[in-house]
Amino acid sequence: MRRTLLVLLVGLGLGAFGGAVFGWLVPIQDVSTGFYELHPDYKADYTVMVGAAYAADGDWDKAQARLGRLAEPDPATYVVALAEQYIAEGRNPNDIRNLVAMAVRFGYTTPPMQLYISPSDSEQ
Amino acid sequence: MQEDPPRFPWIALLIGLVVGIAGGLYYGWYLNPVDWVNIGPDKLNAEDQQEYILLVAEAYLQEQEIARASARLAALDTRDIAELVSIQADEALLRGDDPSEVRALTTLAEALGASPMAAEVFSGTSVPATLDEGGTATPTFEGIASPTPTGDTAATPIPTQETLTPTPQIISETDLSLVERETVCEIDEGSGRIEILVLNRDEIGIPAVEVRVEWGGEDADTFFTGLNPGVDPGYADFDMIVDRVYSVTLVGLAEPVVGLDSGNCTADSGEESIPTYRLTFAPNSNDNTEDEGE
Repeated sequence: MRRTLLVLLVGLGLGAFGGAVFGWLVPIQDVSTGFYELHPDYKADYTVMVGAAYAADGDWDKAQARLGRLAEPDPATYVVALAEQYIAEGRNPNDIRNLVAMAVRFGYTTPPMQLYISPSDSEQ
Repeated sequence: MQEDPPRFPWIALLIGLVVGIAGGLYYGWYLNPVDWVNIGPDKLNAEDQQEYILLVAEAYLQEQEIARASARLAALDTRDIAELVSIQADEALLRGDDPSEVRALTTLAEALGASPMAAEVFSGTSVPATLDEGGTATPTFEGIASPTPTGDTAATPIPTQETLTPTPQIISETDLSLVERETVCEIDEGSGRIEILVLNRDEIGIPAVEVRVEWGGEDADTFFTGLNPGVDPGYADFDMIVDRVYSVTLVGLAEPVVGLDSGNCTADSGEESIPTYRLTFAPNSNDNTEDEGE
């Protein structure tokens, strides 16, 4: 009797583990989600695209709304940090300029950004 | 007499497994479902995927790097990204979305080799940052279009000969023009209006075309075709004030039509009224003639 109970418990444990793992690997619910769950690399690229679109249309409200979708606690700090990271890594100058333009629009300028600030950025 | 060794309790194991699996699945699916973090764009919900595509298109207008745009779209893990962008461009056109967004999507779709219906209006009119003062549109993507039309061309109301052309159709300021201008003087509710109709080559109305009406040297109003689809998807109208001279421009697509005078006219009945102007625009072709009637 004791042995039977032990086997039952082992079966329960194995089954529960296997069932949970299967449930996580093969979800039945809609797993689609929003920009806030993007991988940091995709978030960075998304921000670069927002910067490019802002450079093209100059629509700051739209750019802010788009940045808001990333649900970063402080979008301005995030853009500034990303701009400085891109500068430090020597990334595409156009991307850097677009990021810096947004950082300036947020009211932030840091020494590394100086090279990439255009006169039109500082006028806004 | 020797006692048989106890048999293995297979039934208990089976019951345990079945109950355990059921409980595990319930836990994994409902109590503590998987929480996705650090995802790629392919896991975005449908709305955000559309926003992502739009953003790729708008960024492309500024960056002009088709390889980069393609790589970004490839992250959506979709088989035919050109078709995807093309469909979104057409849907945006039919919804009457912001023309700048439709332009961006159309431009990217064409650069990827697709032939969206929206290209009837917006092909080659994009890249606003590169337009010169005169507004001349630049056919930036010549030669990139696919020589084999994609499946969506079947639903595209463009003549077959047009869609099979491997070079994207360019519509610039001189590609749409006034093909009919009619002035009517009647006593009815519609008097004193400027009625605009924008047609494609198949004489199907084109929505979401930006129309600018100016009068008095300072005043102006901008609106779009397609806001009254009950009349025609390519239709728009504007109520004039008496004794003004108006001009109408299809922004970026056609030369202005000037001298639309809202001074009084005399109807057939002999009563005074305000004239109604009916302006029809269509793509240029050799057989189009301007027909002006009174």
